[in-house]
Amino acid sequence: MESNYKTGTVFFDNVSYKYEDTENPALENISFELSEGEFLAVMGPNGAGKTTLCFLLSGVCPGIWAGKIKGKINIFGKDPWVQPIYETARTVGIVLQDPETQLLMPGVDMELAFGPANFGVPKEEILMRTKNALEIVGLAGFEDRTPQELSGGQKQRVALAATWCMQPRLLVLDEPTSQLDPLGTVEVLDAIQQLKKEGKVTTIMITHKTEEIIDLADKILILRDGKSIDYGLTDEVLSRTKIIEENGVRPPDISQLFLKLQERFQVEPQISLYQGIGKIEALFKDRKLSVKKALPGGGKKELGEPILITENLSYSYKGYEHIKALKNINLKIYEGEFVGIIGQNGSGKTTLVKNFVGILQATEGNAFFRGEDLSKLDVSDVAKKVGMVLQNPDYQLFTISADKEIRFGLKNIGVPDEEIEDRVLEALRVVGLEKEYNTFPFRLSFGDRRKLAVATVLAMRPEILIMDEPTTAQDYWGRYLLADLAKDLFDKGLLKTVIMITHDMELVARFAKRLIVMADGEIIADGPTRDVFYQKDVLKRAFLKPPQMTQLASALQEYNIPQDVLSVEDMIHILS
Amino acid sequence: MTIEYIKADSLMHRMSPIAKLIYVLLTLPLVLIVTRTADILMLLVWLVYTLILWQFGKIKLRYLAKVFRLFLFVCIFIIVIQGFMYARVGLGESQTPLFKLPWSYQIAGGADLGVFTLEGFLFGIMIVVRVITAVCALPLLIMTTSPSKLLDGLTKVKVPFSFAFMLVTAIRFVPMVDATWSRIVEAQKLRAFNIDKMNFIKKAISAYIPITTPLVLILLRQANDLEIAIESRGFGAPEKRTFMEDVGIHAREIAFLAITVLVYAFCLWFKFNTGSFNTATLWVQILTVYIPMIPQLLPF
Repeated sequence: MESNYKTGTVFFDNVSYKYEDTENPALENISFELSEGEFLAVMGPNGAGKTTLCFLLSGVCPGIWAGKIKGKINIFGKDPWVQPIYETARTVGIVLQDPETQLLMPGVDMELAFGPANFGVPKEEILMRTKNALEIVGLAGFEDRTPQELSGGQKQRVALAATWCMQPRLLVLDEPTSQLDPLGTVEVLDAIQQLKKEGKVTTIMITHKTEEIIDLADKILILRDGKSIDYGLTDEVLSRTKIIEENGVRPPDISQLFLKLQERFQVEPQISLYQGIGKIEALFKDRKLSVKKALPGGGKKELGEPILITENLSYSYKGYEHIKALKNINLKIYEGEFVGIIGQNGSGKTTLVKNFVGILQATEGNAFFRGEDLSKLDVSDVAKKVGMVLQNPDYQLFTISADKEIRFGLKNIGVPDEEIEDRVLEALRVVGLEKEYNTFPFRLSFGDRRKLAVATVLAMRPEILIMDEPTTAQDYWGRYLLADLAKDLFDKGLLKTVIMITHDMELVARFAKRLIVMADGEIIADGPTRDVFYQKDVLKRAFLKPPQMTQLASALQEYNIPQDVLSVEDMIHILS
Repeated sequence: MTIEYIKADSLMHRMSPIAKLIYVLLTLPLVLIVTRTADILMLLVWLVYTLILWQFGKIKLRYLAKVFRLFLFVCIFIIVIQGFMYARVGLGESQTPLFKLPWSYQIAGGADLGVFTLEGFLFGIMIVVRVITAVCALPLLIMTTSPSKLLDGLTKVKVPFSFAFMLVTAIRFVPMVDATWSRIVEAQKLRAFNIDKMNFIKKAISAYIPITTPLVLILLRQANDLEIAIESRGFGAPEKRTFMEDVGIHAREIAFLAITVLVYAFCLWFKFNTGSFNTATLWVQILTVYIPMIPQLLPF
């Protein structure tokens, strides 16, 4: 076959792919080329075909998932399509999203040895590679650990190291940070950076988070509905801010700001915060920009009675009595508040809210709902007062239709039969799933399954709604789906109080009026969101980074920029 | 805690898994050839040997408390059933009634369901000892052998790698399934479904559906991921797999196996020579001398 591509590279030449049991192709006419050592970021909304691309590279398609292919794939002269997966595994290493399921062995050393041992690499060589790989990912001395003893970030780094031990020439990373907290994300990105420095490995990484790959990627490929939308060098692609945003990729705040500024000035698009600061400073110096308005005060909703109160609440998990997961929490949450609780995994934020919903009972101290001690109530009574939506709806859904799913909770709390039907219809209408009344929940998209999980909670008519990571696993377009829904119900008065636990600073900046920061089982900051974001040392202690616009404001203090700017909208507002 | 690998350094931990495997495999026929109540002596000798080996493997009885608690029910059940149903009148054995129920029901073989006999009671105890002997052998392999050694050991004795691998992955996934289970139980509490507070009957009838359905669906999804992870790490490559652990038979293993075989021979001698003992005196000895010795041997 005639081709413009060299065999010493990794390329896709007009590749289309269709899974065996689907109508539409998962990928259509995809082309890209990487020379040895280059780094490609693949981005795009859910359903764009990103994971399919990974599967094609690693031979999982057609090895595990059958389908039809057109076009040519080349990985250093080999075609994964025509060889068994273990052959492809000699050149291609793949790291998946879920840190849990890709660790196969009950020990880190076994995990790392598994791949090379399959290829009969001598023992001494394997031990050397193991040691080396663990050093690179920052886990030296972890050989004897079991997966249960590792955090999410550590597990993901073990997965990286295990792949690295096989000395791949092409490393494929399928959203390696999507299920990690900010600290885990930083750890994994550092490890990837180290691997990149270490050798001539060619890398293809799928991600939703633009900030992650600005410093890593040489090239970017943007996919949508299986089609290639944009492909080119990182700077070029990212500076086409409008195109990428229209196709479901989140541009960095700074480039969004410049996009807005372009409406008024002749400025070049910017993608790095550091250079952006310089450019904006220049505009201030030339007096083209100045602070014109103060930030809007924000229509304050009247605070009502305190609805949730904790008094010296402490909690220790069974078997770990010496570790206090919560230390003396004293908290008052009022009617009419939209609260964000933020902190690392293990900081105690989830443990705290579990005390509000009857899953856990405080070991010391109390939690009260309108004066009633929550630990003395039955779960069915708590469910009528405080509702909680989890990250992953798949831990809850089990019936054969959406309406039955909602009925289940209503029956458990003892709603009379004649009232159940009305409540089911109402709940489905509120979340916009009225058409799915009879649908099998597992046929719904992930976003809709989450909505259904919300509906099951709302049908019980709680006064407080707690949401655990409402943005997880959603793409740029879908990320505020749940938060918007809660906000809407909150504004209509159907929910008295909303609490969100999250790592997502943008989400908090956008929705929460009050922010609680937790670390090591304690509340280390509590106040209006803008005030808390301003306390850099508090955020640092919780391993959180303020949003880019807050960082920009802080860099440009001398030009009277208010220090509590949170978003691009804020920034544009004060500059207009 | 159930039977699982406990990280430690001991003689049995260092021992090759193959030697330990041989020991376990020897136990099985010993347990199976038992036919008479008097064979209990042989079992007790082997049990005592096992418990001594436990000492060398730093295995503590409390690790297995959960397993034994489960067994207690089964043991009592066996003894009661045997007490009422055991009869070898045809073989010339006498029957000594311990107590009688107010009714009587003769069944085939000469047993009276209304009578609890001493012989039946002792036979029941023998079966219980049989079960305990078999169960006690297993921890010596599982609890002192790291999964890595187990994998290499099994492969070395020509167990197909895919089978040995399956076993080891199962070990890895037990805690994961456990964690998923608790997460689902918690998640369903949010919908006012509290399985912890339900009674036994209610649980058995319908309560597990909301827990097991998501569990199975989640596990199926995870199995997909797992397959990708396994295959993309070179599983099935034609090369001869590298052994990471030394699982060969050396002096230590030979010494261990020699002692084991000696004890084994002694047991078999008992089995085939106790016929000449007076059964009654033997039982008196067992009950008054040997059984009271066991607690002192147990590594609490």
